[in-house]
Amino acid sequence: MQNVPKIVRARFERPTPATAEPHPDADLLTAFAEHSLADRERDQVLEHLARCADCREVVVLALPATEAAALAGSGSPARIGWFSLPVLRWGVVAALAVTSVGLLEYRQRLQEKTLVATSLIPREQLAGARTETPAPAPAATASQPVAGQTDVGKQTEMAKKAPSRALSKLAVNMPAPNEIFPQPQSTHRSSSAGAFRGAPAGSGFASGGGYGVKAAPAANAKQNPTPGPDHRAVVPSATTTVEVSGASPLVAAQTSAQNQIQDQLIQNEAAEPSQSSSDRVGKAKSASAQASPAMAPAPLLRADPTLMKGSAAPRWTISASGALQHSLDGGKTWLDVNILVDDSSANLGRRAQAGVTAEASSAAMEVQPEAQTESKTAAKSAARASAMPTAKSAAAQPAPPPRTIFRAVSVSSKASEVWAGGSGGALYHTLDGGNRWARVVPSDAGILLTGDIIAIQFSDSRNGIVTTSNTEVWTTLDAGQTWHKQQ
Amino acid sequence: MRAAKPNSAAVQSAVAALLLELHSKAGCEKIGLARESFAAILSEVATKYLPAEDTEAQVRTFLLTLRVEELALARACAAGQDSAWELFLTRYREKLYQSALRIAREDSAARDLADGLYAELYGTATRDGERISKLASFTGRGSLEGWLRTVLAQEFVNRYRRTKRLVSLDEESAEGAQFATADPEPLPSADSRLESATDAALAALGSEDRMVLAAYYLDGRTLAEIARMLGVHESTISRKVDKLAKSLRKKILAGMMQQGMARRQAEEALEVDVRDLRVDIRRSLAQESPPATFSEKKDVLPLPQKVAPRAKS
Repeated sequence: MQNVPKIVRARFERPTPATAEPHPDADLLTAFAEHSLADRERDQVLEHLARCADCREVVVLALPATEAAALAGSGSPARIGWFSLPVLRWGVVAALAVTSVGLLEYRQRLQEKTLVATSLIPREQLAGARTETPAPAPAATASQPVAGQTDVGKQTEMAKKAPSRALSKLAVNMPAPNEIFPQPQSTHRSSSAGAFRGAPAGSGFASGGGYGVKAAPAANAKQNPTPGPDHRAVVPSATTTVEVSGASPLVAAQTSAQNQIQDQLIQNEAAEPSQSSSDRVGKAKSASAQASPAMAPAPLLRADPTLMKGSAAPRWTISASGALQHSLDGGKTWLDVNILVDDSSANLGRRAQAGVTAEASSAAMEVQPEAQTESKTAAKSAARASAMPTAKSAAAQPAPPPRTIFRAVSVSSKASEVWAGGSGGALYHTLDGGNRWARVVPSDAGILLTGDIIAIQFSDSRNGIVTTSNTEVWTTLDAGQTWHKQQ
Repeated sequence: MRAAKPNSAAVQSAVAALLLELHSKAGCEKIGLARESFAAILSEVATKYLPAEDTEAQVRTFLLTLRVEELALARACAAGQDSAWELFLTRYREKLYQSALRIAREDSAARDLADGLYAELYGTATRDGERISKLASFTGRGSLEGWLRTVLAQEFVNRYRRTKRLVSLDEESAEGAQFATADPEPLPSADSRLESATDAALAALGSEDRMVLAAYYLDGRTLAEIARMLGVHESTISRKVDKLAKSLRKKILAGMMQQGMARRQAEEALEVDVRDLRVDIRRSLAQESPPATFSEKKDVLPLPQKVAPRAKS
C-alpha cells in the first residue's frame, strides 16, 4: 500500500455493502482458464472476475503447472518478456551477419580460385604463342605483352575489389561507349581485357570476352603502337564484342548469373543497331574480299531473368580472324576450336583439350534457351567482322593455314549442341560440345549452299535458319537433315 | 451464473441424436457407464448451462464441446466403478499432489490439501445412505486435470481465508490495533465529483478491461499472469493497461469538467499522478461484496483485501 494516499487507503479498507453473488463453479472457471468458453459465458465469468478477487486468485492458482513453473522461475516475468525480445532480435541480426560474412568469404574464395586458374592459363598460352610466332610484328612484341601483363594485374585487383566483374569479361564497344557502360571504369577494364587477349594474335587470344572487329585497317595501324591506358582510343569505334554463353563450372553461379545479365544488357545495346555502326561495318565489309552485300537483321535480345538461374556455361565466339573459339572460364580465356578432322597435331591436341573440358562442362551445366539469341548477335558480329584480319593477327599468323573463316555460331540450350558456319558455305554441327563435328552441306533441289554463312539461328534443336552473304536463307525443320532454300 | 432452464425437448432431442457417438467417444463401456446413465449426465450438464431459448442445434454444439471422456470417467468414479477409479488414480493421483504442492508451496500443506480433496473426491459424506463424491459435480466443460487444480485452488483460498482471519486477529492483538485510538486527523473525503466521474469511467469499460485493471492494480498480478488468464501475450496486456490508464484519466478529467470543475481543479483533484489514478481504480474495482466461500455454505468473515501495491515505473 505504499504510494497510496491515505484517503484511498481508507476507502480500500472500508467495508463495502455486500451484494451477494455466487461464484462460478469450478467447471466454468476451468473452462475460462482453458479458453474454451463461448463468448456469452466468457463475458459472464469476466464480469464476475472483474469484481471477485477470490475467483481471480483461483484462476491464477489453477493455471497449468508448466506455465506456473516458468512463471515461478522467471521472478519478474513481465520484465523478462520485454527483455527477451530484443535479445531475440539481436540474435537474429547476429546470425544473419555471420551467415552473410560466411557466404561472402566462401564466394571470395571461389573467385580467387577462378582467378588463379585463369591467370595461369594465359601465361602458358602466352609462352606458347611466343614460340609459335617467332617473328611477330614489332609493335605487338613491344607493347602488347606488357599491356597484357599489366592487364592481368589490373584484372585481378579489380576482381578482388569489385564482386561484379562481368564487364571485364566481355564488352561491346559501340561508337558511344558511355551509353553502353555507365561507368567509364568498366569500359576501361573491358577494353584492357580485350587488348590483353588480343595480344598473342593467332594463338587463341585474338579477342577477349568476344572479339574486336576493326572498321578499317587504318584503325589497326593506330591500335598497336598505343596500347596505353586510354583504351578507348585503342579500340575502334565499330568494334563489337559478342559471345555465346555456355556453362563454366569454375565460376560461381551467382557471378555467372551477373555475367549473363550483363552480357544480355550489353548485347542488347549492341543488337539494337545504330544504323551508323552497321553502315561502318558494311563499309568495312565492302572493303574486304569477302564483303557481304546485305546484313541479316540482328535480333533484339532481352535480358531474361531465367538466365540468372543458370550456372556458368561454355561460351562460344568467333575471333576477329574468323576462328571458332570457346571459353570454359566465363570468358577470361578463349581457346581455338579446330573442327577440321585432318589437322596438325598441335591443333588436334588443342581440340582434344577443349573437347574434354567442354564435355565435362556440358554435362554439368545447362544453358538457357536465350543463349540461342545470343548466337544471333554473334552471327551478326561475325558478319561485321567480314574476316578482316587485323594487323597483329596478320603478324602473328604469317602463313595461316587454309581454313574456314567462321562468321556465325549458334549454341543450343543444351550447351552441347553447336552450329558453326562461315566462308564457302561451311556449316558444322556438334552434339557433344565440340568433341565430334559433322559437316553439313545444305542442299535444296540440287542447289547447294555455297555462299558465306553469316548468320545461324536455331530456335530449337530442329528448327533453324541459315543466312548467307548472298542473301540466301536456308531453313531446316529436322535438325539439318533436309534444307529448304527460301526464295 | 446458472442459466435458466433450457428447452428440455431440445436437450433431449440433441442428447438422443448424439448419444451413440458421444457414448462411444467417451469410452463408457470400459469404465462401466451405461448409455442411459450417460444420457442422463449429458442432459444434466446441458440443462445446467444452457439457457431456455437455445435450440437443438445449439445444444448439439454445446454437447460436442464437452470433454465427454473425462466426464464419463469422473461420473463413473462418482458412481463407484472400480475400473474407473483405477484409471483415475493412474492418471491424476500424482498430478493432484503436484498441483497441490504448486498451489500451497509447502509440502505438508500441499499434502494436507490434496488429501482433503482426495477424500472429497472419493466421497466421505453420505446422503440418503449413498456416498457423495465431489467428482459428481464435474461437468466436462474443461479438462478434468484443470478442474482438479481449480478445486484445489478454491479449497486453498478457503483455507487461506480462515487462516488469514486468525492470523489477522493475532496480528492485530500483537500490534495493539484493537486498542488503537481514533485517528486524530480524519482522512479528507474525496470529492464526490471525482468519485462519480471515476465510477462512470470504469462503468463504461468492458468486463475484460475491468478485470485486467483489477488484476493488475488491485491484486498486483503480473502481466504474464493476466496474459495467461486471458490467453494472450503479455505485451498485449501491457499495452492494454497503458491504454486503459491513459483513457481512464482522460475520461475522469472530462467527467469532472462536465460536472462544472475547471480543468486545473479537476487535475488537482486527480492529483495529476498516475499512481493516484491507479489508487482510484483500486477503490472502484475493490470487491464490493464480502467473499463467499467456494462450495461452502457457512458464513465467514470478510477477507482483508490482499492488495499488493505496484509502482508502474
